[in-house]
Amino acid sequence: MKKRDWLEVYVENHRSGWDDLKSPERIWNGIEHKLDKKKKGTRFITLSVWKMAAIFLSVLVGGAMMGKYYFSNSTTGIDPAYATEMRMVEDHYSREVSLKINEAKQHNLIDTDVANDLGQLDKVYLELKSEMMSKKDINNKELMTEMINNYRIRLSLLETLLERHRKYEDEKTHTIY
Amino acid sequence: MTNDPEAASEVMQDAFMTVFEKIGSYGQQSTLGAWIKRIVIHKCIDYMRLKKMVYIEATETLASLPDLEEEPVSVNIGLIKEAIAQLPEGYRVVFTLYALEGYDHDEIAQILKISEQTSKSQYHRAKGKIKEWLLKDGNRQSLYN
Repeated sequence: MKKRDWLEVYVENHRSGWDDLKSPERIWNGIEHKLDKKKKGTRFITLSVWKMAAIFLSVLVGGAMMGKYYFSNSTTGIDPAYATEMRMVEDHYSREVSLKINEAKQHNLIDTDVANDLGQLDKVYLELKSEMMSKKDINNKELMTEMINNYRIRLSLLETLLERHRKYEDEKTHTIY
Repeated sequence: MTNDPEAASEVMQDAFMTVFEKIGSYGQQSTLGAWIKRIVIHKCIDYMRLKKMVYIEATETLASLPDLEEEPVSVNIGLIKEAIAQLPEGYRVVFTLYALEGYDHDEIAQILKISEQTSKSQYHRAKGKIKEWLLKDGNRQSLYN
């Protein structure tokens, strides 16, 4: 065994003397504040992304509707052929969105705020669809494009949530302390 | 290790944020206290790397370092702490990790990304510097009075 000098022996025997400092209250307050901010910040980012999507959707849809009132000369209603295609598109995308929502739920990513915003997006979509389908002057091709864009936005938002979760899990796994 | 209360506060906050975030990954491979300590030390080292902590290459030979081999009659912990605080950063970190935190030179080398030999020589020189400081005129009086 290597011989230790008096300094090493002294430090070892008086080790507790180096633990005399206590953390001031402000440090714990700072930690608590950062934890709260982090939690709120995450929710804020999630909320703001969803709300932006909802606003974007409304603007997109509203603009499309205005375009129809001002510029459309078409007198076509719902073409049966388009109706079939629309149903196929809707089936495909609604299935994709459901899969992503289920995956997000498995990881507890759908909190109350996200669920409310998803519900709002869905409501906007249904109102749009209902209103557009009730208008005589409808351009079916544009309607399908709007529907597809709507679903793509939802898929993109869900994927962002899932990707962020995957990154977090990956960091957790690979950082070793 | 940082030798700066403000820096220590910052490191501590940062470390505890990491503890809270990564508590799920604590796998009981060591005691919780040891796991937290490792996080704190890593954060400390990261902080000091940002400050570009330098490992001083030895300019003096080992023989020229003072030989205070006998424990002074009235050494006190305050003087030892002061002596450690006077050390250049690299010496201080290695000394702290080895003598105070109980890491061996192999572990220190991994943490600080230096060689084991560098760790050993830094530690040896740190001890020499501490003893040299204790022997300085004003401090010697405190030691022996």
